[in-house]
Amino acid sequence: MTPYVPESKKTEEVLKARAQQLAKGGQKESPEQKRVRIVEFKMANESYGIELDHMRMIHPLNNLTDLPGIPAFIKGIINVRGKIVSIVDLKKFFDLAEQEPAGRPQVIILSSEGMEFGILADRIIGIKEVPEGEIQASLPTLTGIRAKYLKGITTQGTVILDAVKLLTDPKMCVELEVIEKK
Amino acid sequence: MDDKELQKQLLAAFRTEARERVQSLFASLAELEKNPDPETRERLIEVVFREAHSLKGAARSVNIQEIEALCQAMEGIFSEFKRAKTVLPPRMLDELHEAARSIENYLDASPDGLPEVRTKMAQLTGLLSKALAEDENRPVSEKKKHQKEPAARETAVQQGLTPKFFSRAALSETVRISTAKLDGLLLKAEELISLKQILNQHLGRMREIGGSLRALKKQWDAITPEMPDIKKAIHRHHFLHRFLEAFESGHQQITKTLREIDDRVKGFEQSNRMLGGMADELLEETKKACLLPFSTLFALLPPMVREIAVAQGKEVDVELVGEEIEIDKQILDNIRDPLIHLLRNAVDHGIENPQVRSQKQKSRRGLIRLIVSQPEHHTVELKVQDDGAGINTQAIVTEAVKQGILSPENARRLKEREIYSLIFHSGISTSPVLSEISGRGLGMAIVKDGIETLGGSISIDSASDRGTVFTIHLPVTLATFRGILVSVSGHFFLIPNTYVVQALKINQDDIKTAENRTIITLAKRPLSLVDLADTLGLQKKPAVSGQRKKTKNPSLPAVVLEHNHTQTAFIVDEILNEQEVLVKNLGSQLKRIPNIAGATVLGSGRVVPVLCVKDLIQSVVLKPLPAVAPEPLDREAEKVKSILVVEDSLTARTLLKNILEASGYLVKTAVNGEDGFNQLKAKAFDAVVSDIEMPRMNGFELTQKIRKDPSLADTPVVLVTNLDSPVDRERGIDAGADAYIVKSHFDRSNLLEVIARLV
Repeated sequence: MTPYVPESKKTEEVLKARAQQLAKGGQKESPEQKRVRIVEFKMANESYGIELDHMRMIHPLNNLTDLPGIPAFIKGIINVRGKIVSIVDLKKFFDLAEQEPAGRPQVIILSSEGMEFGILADRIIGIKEVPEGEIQASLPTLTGIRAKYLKGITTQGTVILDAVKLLTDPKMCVELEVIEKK
Repeated sequence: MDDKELQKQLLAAFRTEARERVQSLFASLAELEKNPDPETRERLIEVVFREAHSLKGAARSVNIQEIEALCQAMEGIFSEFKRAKTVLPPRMLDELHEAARSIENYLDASPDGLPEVRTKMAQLTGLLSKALAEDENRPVSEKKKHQKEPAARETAVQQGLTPKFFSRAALSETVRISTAKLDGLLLKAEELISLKQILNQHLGRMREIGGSLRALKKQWDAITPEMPDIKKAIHRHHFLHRFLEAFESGHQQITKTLREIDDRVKGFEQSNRMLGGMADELLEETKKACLLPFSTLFALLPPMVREIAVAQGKEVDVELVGEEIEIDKQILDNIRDPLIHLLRNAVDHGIENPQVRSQKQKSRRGLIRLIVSQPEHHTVELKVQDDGAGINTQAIVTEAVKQGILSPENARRLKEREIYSLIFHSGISTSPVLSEISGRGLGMAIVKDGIETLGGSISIDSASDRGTVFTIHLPVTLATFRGILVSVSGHFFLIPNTYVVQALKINQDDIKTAENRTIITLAKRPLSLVDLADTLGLQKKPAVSGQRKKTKNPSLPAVVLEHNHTQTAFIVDEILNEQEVLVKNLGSQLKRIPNIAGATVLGSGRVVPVLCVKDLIQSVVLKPLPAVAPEPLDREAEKVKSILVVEDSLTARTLLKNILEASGYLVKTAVNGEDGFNQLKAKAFDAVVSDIEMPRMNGFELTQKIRKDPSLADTPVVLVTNLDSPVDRERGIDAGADAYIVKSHFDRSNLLEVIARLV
């Protein structure tokens, strides 16, 4: 649904936004206006954000390998600088409508003590700072499965995901035994 | 010719390097002569030590033994003084100066002058080595030796390990680095190996391009003798001149480009070889940096053994030998559980009660010894030795016969060693009581598995009343292993060679069916034959079977795999090649995936799963597979049935989805009745599985709506619910549901049975 924005115009917008940022008084944070740094990305035509604190890196989705016997919400594994990282498709995990990803999908690698995986983004929009005051508790329309993993929603409608909840959710951990299938 | 060229280049590189190092040696030696303060001296000694060491390595790689030997001697002296922290005597400094000078002379020498320099170098080498030996015998060193002796006696087997100087050098300067950082380094070093393989592929491609150009050039060369005639003929047609010119310049261009490519390929080959060598060395060195001494593991063992012993009223001492020997951290982590198991067994089965021991005229206290040694550079031997009752071979044989693992005739023929190996068979336990600690008969099978996964081996020796020794051999570092690459339904998999009995082509006519299983006979032995795609739950790719059909090849590629004495033949689509690979784990999220042991990265950058043969064989044993029909190719692919799961709870929805998908259904989900109904209107499903209590539209309402809609009325509906009252059940049936499953009695087979009946 996002209208197509030519590259130069996008750049212009980014620059403008930065200029405004600077005009507002630079990086200094007033105590009541704490800022949250997020990486913003598109998924199923919606805008999502995730805090940078638990992001290790952004990596292109190259050489994805599917594995037999893994849950549907895991897309497969990739090699990131010599380490194998599993890729979670949040659309499947959240049960969002499946859409053909537009453009080149990227992987946002989240990592914490004892857990690491990448989440699939249809497109990375960029890193941005959001004043904490602009994040409000989730909207009543977002009560589904996602509600549990939400941190809030910005005034622009970007859904901020809770990286810690995602990383610590036991459902994310896959430990399957050889079972008898009928 | 290439090798000669390379040798020449290497020598040139060595000369440059050697000159730099000799200069540095001169400079530092001169500084040392000034007798500086201890701190500066220490730093300088370190510099000269490193220079001599590096130069020695460089000389070795170009095979100049004179320099290597001389540097070895110099290094020895520096190392000794590095440790002793004393002043180098002036006489020795002179000799060292002379040594450095002679290396320089060697580099500059004309072929005629070389013998003379060589003689000088040999003299100096002798002189320095002698000086070192004298230095070694000084009283200080004597004392040091004495201190070392008890340890040396303990680890008599450990002799000839590391040259003394290296270990001392390592002791004198240590840095604490977090293991996480080391792991990071190791990963990077491993990545270089993939890069090396990628470069090799590029190189191969470049050679191919050169080859095709060469072929083209040859063609054009062939025309050259005819050129005068062609020119004459073309002369008559004036307009063809330009074509001729184009041809001639093309010919020249190709010749030039070909030469250029050949040169580049050669250069590439050389750099690649050097880079490859360096990458291998770097990995090797990094692996060494990741080694930990056994003591980090052993520390927790004696208290544990004591605790178990006390609980059983036994008295046991633990002796640890060779705990300073180092091994890869990962191996150490993974050997922990098998080792603990062996120790428990030793206390539980091995060591007798104090009274029994006294009767046998043994000391009341049992002794368990853990002896680590390093018989070879790359292997570590770990012995778990107890002085207990020994293994009761008769009991094992009786048990094996009882369990049908062994026939009574065979039992009589078994040698002692073969009887011991039965212990590793799961199900065998000689413990009369199933205690908490051991005796479940599974333990030893797991121990063996664990050790073999690490690339190690275990053997047993035992003597009645004298005790039992388990000998474990382990690699020092986790090495690369060889495996065969197969393709199945468009996926690639790697199978470790250790589990592959053979790879073969199976003739379709040889496939027989017995007791609802397909078998083939290999070496007069019947083997179960299954399709790897089925075992892994992969959908067969039509393209692949189409290909099979087209070629009309009646034989199927297959691999015979073995684990725990069970062999099974697996049909694959293609056996591609054998590769050397490094296994990596699947990351922290995928803790355990059936049938997959890990993954590896191929030279192409492709990530390939490594199969877990143990799981595969277990999977085959556990589930009676659909028999591979002798002619599976003509079998029409069955239409995949689709099911809509309507459920508002994520957990329940995921559960249902997984169960149904695992059974081969195509599953879509909806979050409530309304969503479900909309999806049904958009696309037909073979069945609906729905919850009852849901927001917006509940399961009863959904069922009614489906029944009322002419296009959907025939769709089977299964209600799965918490509501377990006769009234609700009735209401469900009234609404038109075909089946009603209560979650509390819910088990997957029940649901699957119901669905199979309905669709």
